[in-house]
Amino acid sequence: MDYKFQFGVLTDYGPYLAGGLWHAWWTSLPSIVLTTILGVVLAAMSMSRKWILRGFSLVFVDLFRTLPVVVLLIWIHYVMPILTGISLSPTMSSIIALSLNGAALACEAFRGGLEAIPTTQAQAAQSLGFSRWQVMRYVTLPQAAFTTLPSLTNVHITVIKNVTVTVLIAVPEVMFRAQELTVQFFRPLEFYTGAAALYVALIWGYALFMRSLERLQKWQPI
Amino acid sequence: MATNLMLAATEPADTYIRFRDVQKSYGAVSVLNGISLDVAKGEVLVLCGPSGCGKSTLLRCINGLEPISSGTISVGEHRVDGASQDTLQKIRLSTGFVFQNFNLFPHMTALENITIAPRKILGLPQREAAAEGMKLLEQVGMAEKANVYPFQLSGGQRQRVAIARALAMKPSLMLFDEPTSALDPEMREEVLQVIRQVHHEHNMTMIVVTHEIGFAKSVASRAMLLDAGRIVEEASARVFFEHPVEERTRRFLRAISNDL
Ligand SMILES: Nc1ncnc2c1ncn2[C@@H]1O[C@H](COP(=O)(O)OP(=O)(O)O)[C@@H](O)[C@H]1O
Ligand SMILES: [Mg+2]
Repeated sequence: MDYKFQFGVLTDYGPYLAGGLWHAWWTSLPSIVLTTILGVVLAAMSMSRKWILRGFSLVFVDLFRTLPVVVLLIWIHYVMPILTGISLSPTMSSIIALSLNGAALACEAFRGGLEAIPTTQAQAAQSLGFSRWQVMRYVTLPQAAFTTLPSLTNVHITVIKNVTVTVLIAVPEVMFRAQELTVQFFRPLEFYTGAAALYVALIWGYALFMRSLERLQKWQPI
Repeated sequence: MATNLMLAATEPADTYIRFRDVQKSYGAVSVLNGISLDVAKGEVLVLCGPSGCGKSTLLRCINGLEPISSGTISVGEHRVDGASQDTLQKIRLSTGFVFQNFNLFPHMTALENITIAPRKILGLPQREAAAEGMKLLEQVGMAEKANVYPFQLSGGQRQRVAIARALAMKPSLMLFDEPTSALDPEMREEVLQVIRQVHHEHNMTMIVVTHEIGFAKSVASRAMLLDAGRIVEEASARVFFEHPVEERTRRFLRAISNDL
């Protein structure tokens, strides 16, 4: 261990490295939003009476839960253009890959939350005259949203962590910049430690935000 | 349609609920074994029977929460068995259901529990729904708890809100499934009083599953004992509770009065 720490390089290049957070965040946030919306829709579909909707949800979840994110990302960014002629920016490809993967995980989280709502809730709502869709919209989903929040936070954190694989298609987020700087200055320890600290801070901040949402719940299950 | 017309021509005009040889089984387990029953408009029928005899199932077949295996059920002008989702919804709109365990929506305040269905199903504006909801809460003595969540209410209070929630849809039929049996004895009377009041004010058709004999005698026009999915005895409330014919009924009534 005769490596000499020179965290001094971070005073010069830290701001550039930290600037990668901006890209990390703007890849994460749309992915988190899409993950959540798709996850809810897929969970609702998985409870439908129409077998085609149930089947779609099942295949989707099984496919994107098993596909490694790196494979999915490379496929969307490099293979899809060959097949369809549509090529996307690295950020767009990343958002799609992370959302597809995240949606499969979020669907499972929501489904667990929905299944935990007693069936008597749906019966009470149906007895009032609510349609199946309204039961979901007004009674089961809002309750499941709160019970699912902690596991949804975990899914979101997974999505944010997955942003680091976008280094492979040159999204200029923190890891990409750490790599860039390391090649230039041969200071891997400083730059990668800096990258680690930045991601920890981002995820920690996000988790705190989600925790504060949990405190918004004014009701308790009975 | 043709069968409906024929039934209408041969039955008394004021029959509201009609069961004909209704069978219901869960897999191999037969729960209702040939129930035939008429309930007239404005009538209050009390349904008794030992635990597991099929009382809840019978009520749940009326608003189509459970499909039946054979026979026919009609409510008002609608056939329940084989009904489309649309028809089932119509039947449910005019049928209030009060559950043993209240089943309030825990994520809504007492008032929201009452206004959600009128707002989202009947399209009532928020203010109107809230005004009507407050009136109902006053009727059941819960006005000061309007903005409280169900977890903050006692069992008796929850059940009174649940009754108001059902009444908010202005049903013409109310089904009560053991509305007081999950309650501590001292809370039962407050709920029974509300049910009596609903009966007097709205002169509504009701089926009440209950073992509260005093209450049953005071509101029921008719009473019935169900055992193992069959109607054992059916009579006017007075005859049923004071001079039952069947030995099974006497045994049952003795058993429930010993419980108290
Ligand atoms: N969803 C169900 N699946 C299988 N069996 C059921 C179901 N619901 C009720 N049962 C059975 O049907 C019988 C009647 O139940 P229920 O109508 O709830 O009786 P009660 O309300 O008179 O106590 C019981 O033996 C019960 O175990
Ligand atoms: Mg029961």
